[in-house]
Amino acid sequence: MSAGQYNIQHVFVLMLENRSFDHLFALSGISGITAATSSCSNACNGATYTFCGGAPAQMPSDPGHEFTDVLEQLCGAGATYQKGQAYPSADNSGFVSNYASSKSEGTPPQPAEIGAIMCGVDTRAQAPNLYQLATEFVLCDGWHSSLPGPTWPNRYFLHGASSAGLDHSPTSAEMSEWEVVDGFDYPNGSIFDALGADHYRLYQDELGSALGRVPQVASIKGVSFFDIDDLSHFENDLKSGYTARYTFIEPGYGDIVHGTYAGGSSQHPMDGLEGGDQLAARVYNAIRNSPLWENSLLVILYDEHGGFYDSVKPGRATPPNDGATGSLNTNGFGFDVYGVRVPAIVVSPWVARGCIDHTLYDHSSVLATLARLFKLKPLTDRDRHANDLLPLLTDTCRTDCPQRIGA
Amino acid sequence: MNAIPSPDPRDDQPLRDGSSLMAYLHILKKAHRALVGHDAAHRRFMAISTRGHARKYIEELMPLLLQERARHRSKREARRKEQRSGAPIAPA
Repeated sequence: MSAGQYNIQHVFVLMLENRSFDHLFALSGISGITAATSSCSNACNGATYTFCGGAPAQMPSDPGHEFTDVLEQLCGAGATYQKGQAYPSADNSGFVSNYASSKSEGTPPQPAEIGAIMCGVDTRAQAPNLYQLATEFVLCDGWHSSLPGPTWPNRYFLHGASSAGLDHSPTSAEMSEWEVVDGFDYPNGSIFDALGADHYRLYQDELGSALGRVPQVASIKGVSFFDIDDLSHFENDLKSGYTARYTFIEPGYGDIVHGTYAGGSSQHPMDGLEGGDQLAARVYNAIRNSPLWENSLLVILYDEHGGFYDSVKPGRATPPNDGATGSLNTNGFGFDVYGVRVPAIVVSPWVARGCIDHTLYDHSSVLATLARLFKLKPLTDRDRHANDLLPLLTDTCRTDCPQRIGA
Repeated sequence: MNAIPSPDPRDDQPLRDGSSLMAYLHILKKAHRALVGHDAAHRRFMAISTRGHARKYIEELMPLLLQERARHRSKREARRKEQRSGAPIAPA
């Protein structure tokens, strides 16, 4: 056991929204990453779209990322998935065609705008705080969303190493059924059940549009809207008597009513990167300047890729095997393939500066880390077999970490 | 920064089942149920059919829910303080 592993007593996770690894970091200039180049392309309607820079601050329309969207993105236009069969072979060739035609998230973009899905951001300029954290700490380039699908089941994997079979955004009828047991129910419980009430805390960014102050985690059985604290309390809470082993932080989602997500901090493609970049700095600064810093591990990650191009093919995944009934499994997905690659940054004084980590992770790696740090049982086969973050922890507590980042 | 935007031309658009918005509204319904009970919360929820209704629902509920959240936080903090001081712990 490293000294770092011995010293970590508090794990923090900030989960943002809808960005692929290549979209956010391929053009960062950070050396050593596995990333898209200008030789990567998608064809659509006789035209070729190469991966390039110049991603717009806000996307012209919301890229689809439901199960069938991601199937096309990964396996090409016309790909089909047969229940009970193997997931088709991925070649990451259908991101442009899907963006051009999918109506999952509303009206598709104008034809002239479809190439935006292949564009990467200028990380240093558009997300300077995330860039600084990625270069000061550990940037993971092998972290995948837990399934090739949308926000909700992917977030459920973070909280329980399973989505209880859910492979799509839940319908009103499904959520009404969950009311009977007071929320989304994991066969083996959630990480919050496993930790117990006194050992976790939940926060949500309170800044920005009031329309987006709806924490997704409160959909889970055993978690109430009233259990979540405004992030305005976070810095002060950390100053004394903070005993939570695990802290989960949600961004504000902005204007969810009109689908613009404006005024949020989730980095939703319709809203842009600035709010989430500032939120990352706010969370880092609070932990860095608290008494807990030398006992802390912060993970900043993304629920899924949001429809943006990524060049890495997802590999085989271990199904949860948690006895979930098939009632939520609309597409018949076997949860045996990861979703698209997403960015992840691991922050702690106990990790090496400027390290690129190629290890294969998914959201259940957070749970595997918690389980192995705090002697918890795995929740499902997915986290039982997941790689954890503990090998990143060293024997040296760094003294060169930035005292503050951002404006 | 907490301002709710003024009326929007899209307010008349119908809500789409299986959308993120519908799912978020169900989270608010869950919280509302805890405050007023299933029947009243369900009745209020069933009156939502457009984006404008959703917006009004959030505007109406959010102050109540945030007030209740603050009350829960106060109770939690008092309990934690008691735990730290070793004083008898009141029921959660």
